[in-house]
Amino acid sequence: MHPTCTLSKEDTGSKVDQKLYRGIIGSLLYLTASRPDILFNVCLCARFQSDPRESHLTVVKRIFRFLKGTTNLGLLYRKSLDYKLVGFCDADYACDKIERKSTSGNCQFLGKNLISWARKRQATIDISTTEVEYISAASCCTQLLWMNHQLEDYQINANNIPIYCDNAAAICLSKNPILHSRAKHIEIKHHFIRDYFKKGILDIQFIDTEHQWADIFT
Amino acid sequence: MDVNSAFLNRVISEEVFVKQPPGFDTTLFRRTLEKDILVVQIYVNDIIFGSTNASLCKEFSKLMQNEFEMSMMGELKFFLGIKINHFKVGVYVHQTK
Repeated sequence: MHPTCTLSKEDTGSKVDQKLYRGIIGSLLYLTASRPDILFNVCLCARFQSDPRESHLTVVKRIFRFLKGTTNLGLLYRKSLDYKLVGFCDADYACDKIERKSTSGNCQFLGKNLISWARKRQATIDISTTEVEYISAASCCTQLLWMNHQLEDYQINANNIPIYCDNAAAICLSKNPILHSRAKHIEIKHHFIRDYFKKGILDIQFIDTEHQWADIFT
Repeated sequence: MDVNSAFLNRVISEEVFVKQPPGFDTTLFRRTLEKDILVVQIYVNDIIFGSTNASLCKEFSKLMQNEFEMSMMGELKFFLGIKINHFKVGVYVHQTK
């Protein structure tokens, strides 16, 4: 997708076959299992499945053209004895132009190998980028905890699993349990990250956007 | 590994329910023997397995082939539409047709 192109719900463009559009999105979503680079675009196009128009299909076709030129891409899992679990989380504030909801994206690495990635539109409408990043960190946290449980089965135990976040305020919010006027409305379910930080299971750290690998999902 | 006619290999003696009983949804199995691990993943009639010790793999393959009619497909190359190439440095996963 071109960086200047923004997709939105529209009423004017001609309708396209919904079954075809849904089929395409379904196939592309399966392809994201080995191609995290297209996750952003596919998830964006997936939002218009209820009423797909010509403009949406054009963008989808563009994804196909991109894929045609890059069929040789995949994921390389290097042999390694490095079992350090690392999480990256990022968010896009109010990227959804219709409902003004934000999107969170996160990915997890085991050593140097990418093992999991996700992008999801948040259920709530947020008032600040801090809140958005904070919620994103919480969803990254749930995935990391699950992975940590899995690794325990293989006698790989880890403490202070780092989550890299590029918003300093969100990090402060997770480390300092103060409820001030800008943050006291955040739902309790997003605060569970504090508990895991306090217990020393997770550790939220700052990273600049340049090295924020989850950036491509948002 | 691939089970031949998977549905014909099971003798059904109990009542058949539409819903599966709890505890049957696990498809990833793990066996630890001292320092070695054997991991087995089952998807309908396809089985992939790997181990830190080659003899564990052989033992598992033999055990399964004795019990059910199935064929050994060799090194993992293709699973659920995903191609896997093995290299010295590691494993390359892609969906190129």
